[in-house]
Amino acid sequence: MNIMKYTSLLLSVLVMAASAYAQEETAEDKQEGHTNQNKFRQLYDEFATPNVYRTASGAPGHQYYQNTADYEMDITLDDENTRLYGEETITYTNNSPDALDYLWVMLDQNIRSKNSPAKEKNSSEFAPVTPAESFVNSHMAPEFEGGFNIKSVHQDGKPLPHTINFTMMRVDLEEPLMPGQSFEFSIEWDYLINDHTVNRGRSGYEYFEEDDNRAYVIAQFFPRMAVYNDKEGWQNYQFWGNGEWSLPFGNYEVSITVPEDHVLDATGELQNRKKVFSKTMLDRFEKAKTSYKEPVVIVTEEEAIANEKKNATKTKTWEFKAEMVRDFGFATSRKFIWDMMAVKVGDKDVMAVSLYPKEGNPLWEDWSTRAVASTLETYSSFTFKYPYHKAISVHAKSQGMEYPMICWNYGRPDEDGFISDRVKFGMMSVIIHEIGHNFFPMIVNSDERQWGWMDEGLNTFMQYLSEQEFGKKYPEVLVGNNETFEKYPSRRGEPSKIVNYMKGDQDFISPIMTNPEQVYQLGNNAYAKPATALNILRETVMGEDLFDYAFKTFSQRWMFKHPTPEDFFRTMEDASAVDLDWYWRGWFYTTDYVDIGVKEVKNYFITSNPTTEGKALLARYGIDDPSKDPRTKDAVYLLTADSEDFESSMKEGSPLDNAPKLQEYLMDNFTQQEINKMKQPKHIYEITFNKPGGLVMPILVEFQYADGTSEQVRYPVQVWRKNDNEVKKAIFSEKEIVKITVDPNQETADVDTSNNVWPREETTSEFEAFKNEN
Amino acid sequence: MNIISTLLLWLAISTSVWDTHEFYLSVTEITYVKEKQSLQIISRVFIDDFEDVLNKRYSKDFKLIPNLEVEELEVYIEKYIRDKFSLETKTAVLDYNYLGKTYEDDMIYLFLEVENISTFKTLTIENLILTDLFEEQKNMIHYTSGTFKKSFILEKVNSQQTLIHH
Repeated sequence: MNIMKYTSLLLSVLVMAASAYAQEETAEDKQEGHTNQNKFRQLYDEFATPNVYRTASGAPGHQYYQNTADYEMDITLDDENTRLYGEETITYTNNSPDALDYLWVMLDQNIRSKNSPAKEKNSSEFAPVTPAESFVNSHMAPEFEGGFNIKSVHQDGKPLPHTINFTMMRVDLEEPLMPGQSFEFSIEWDYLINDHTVNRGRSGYEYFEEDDNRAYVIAQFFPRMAVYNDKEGWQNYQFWGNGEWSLPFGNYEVSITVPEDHVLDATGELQNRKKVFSKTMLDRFEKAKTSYKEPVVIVTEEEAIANEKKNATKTKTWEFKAEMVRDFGFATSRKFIWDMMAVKVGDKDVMAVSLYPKEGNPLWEDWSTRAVASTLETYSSFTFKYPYHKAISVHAKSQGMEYPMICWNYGRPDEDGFISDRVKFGMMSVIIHEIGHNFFPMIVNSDERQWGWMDEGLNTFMQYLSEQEFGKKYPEVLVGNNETFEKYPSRRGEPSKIVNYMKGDQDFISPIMTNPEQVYQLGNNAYAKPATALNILRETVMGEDLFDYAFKTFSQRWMFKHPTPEDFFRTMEDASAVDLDWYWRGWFYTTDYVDIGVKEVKNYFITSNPTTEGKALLARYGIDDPSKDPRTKDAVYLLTADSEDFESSMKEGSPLDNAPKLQEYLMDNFTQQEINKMKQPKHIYEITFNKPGGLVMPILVEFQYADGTSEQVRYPVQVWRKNDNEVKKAIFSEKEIVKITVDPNQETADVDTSNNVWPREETTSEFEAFKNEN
Repeated sequence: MNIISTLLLWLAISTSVWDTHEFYLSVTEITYVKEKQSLQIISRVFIDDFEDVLNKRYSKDFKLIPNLEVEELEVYIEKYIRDKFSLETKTAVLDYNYLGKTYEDDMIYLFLEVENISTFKTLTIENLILTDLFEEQKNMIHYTSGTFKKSFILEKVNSQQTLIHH
């Protein structure tokens, strides 16, 4: 037995004896029983029982299924009347083991219909005084005539009975759709397109008064099949505005007819490029295919400005085909400038594409396509190789919205061409984010209606990694208006940035595992907190290697499938051998926060002379004269400076000098060679760490020593498993400790750092700090 | 809140998308430090909204970018705050100093202080910041005095609240 073990054993005897003593005193009070509330208990109560569809390891089960929906659509844009017309034929295939009596189709445009209940989902009241304009708009102006006009639902011309319930439409079947069977039916529809800059919808048009043109970014524009699966049956949670979509995969054949002077791009491969491109455009396109460093302009700014002045009456039809996509979107306008650049993903070439009106320059021509390419590279390295042939970033005012292969992004210079850092980094970040959505949820197809955080959180986490990578790839980006940043200034991801939210008023915070319709702060709840939680998990809890392997495993297992939160939680543990139930429970299922501090530090000395306290303890075990009793004649006694037995000489000299019996014990039991190899610690501390915060986390500590050196130590999170309030650590140190700091690198989002340092330092509040500086 | 603002709020929130920010919210921490007889206020507001409101209200073209601001800006920031933010005890409207501002990510932090204020029982806080630009603006207040804490949201139609210490 070495000296350290021996001492800590004795210490633990002392501690145990003391707590046993305390229990005896209060034993008369009758205590209530309780269920297991330990923060390390497994998530058996929260998780569904694994089954043939979803395994306990977090992978798809051997009978996992998903239904598919294929679409053939003819779409026509009436630019003058801002109306969109469509005819679609859906082939729905039932791969489930269940017979389906009816099908559900989603009619998302109905959230904008006149009698939409979504308009009344919030409480409302009157202000005592209202400006006339606002009064007229509120109470007198005609409402927007939005929503789908469903002209027919039929099978080969034979009308199908259907019932519309708000944003969902039930199509009744004559015969149930049996497992393995497909059902083909058609819908004819139209709707009035909204101005997305006025009411901030996820799609619509922006009107440019100067040249009397519109730029359309069109999505949720056709009746789309809902998901039927093993978790929900038919999706039955209406579209109320916050929770986005749950969509099946399928193949699309879409032709879109627009004015012939429009430039258009969409989800899918363009089928009639030779017909819709000019010869010049075709030549430029060929060049873009092998241009890996510089975007090649397909439609130049000058050409776009010339197009703006036209107003074609003839039309042009663009034809697209897409395989294994969960949705379809397109953008079209006379105003679009168009550029493309190839990017290698694995051994495949992908086209990075941007569409933007001249209002986006100078900014979009420099950075949009490069941001697209860089994002595809970084995401591919952490998940799977981007499987589609292109990714498009479209510039639309105030937008940030994602669809397969295409997304809308904000970020516009001032009218005088000035680009603030806010605009520049905002634009780059939103592009990285929305392009990243191709991976989550367009391919790793989670249910956004129920779990907004699953795509937003995973994606914002990956966005953080990609932004940092982008800053490294293009250091010139880091030169700001007024300073050069050391690294890309990510708005979300770093632990310190989530502190204000997590320490906020509990009345306005929800657990991450909350439906997007029910949260108070969607941005923090579905984006920032899960992204930060994953970043902390990667950097601090699991380490990059274990995390990255597990995260990649999850992505690849659920590529082109529909994962649930449990599938993610389970895979992360299964692929890493790190039990994380405590982490998911705390960070994802509660609103608890991290606050760990140093409560007390005791400095101990050792002696061979039995102390009063030591004697009293041993007396309870029947040892009345410890120095004579063979069991305790070598005992080492620990005492603090305020003990009655303390002598100032104990501060001097080595512990062995102060405890001669320990020296004798060593010489009797070990050779001199063995003794020389032993540590000769001089300083003995007992540190109490307390935890005012509800979250358990590893304790990260920095010890600073009197000789100016320092050391970082990490106690595993399991240290909290038997006491959720405070834990003690006995430290034998060769050097004198002069300062102890918990979470010295600010890795854990500790909400109160005033208790993190010993000896306590006078902390200056943020307010005082500002006042002193100014 | 009237119908259009309900509608605006609904739509604003419905762009759950990745907008500049997902909805209009400022957070103001008000702390009474008894030993200093000081009421310390930090108000965090989205920079782009704050820039918009100053430029619209005073017909200016200010840029709220660190070290690229014109001198005149401070005058208008202070003018705007004094117009929209007020504190009152039972006996008096409190006079506060505007100490200045800092920027942090996409937020601007505004620092205000009421000096030489001895203990008070009630405090009425009014915060109308940005409600002249956005009907749906919400201004959250976190008040702390020793162990007494209270949080609430102020908005255009419900712009003030009175705290009573206990």
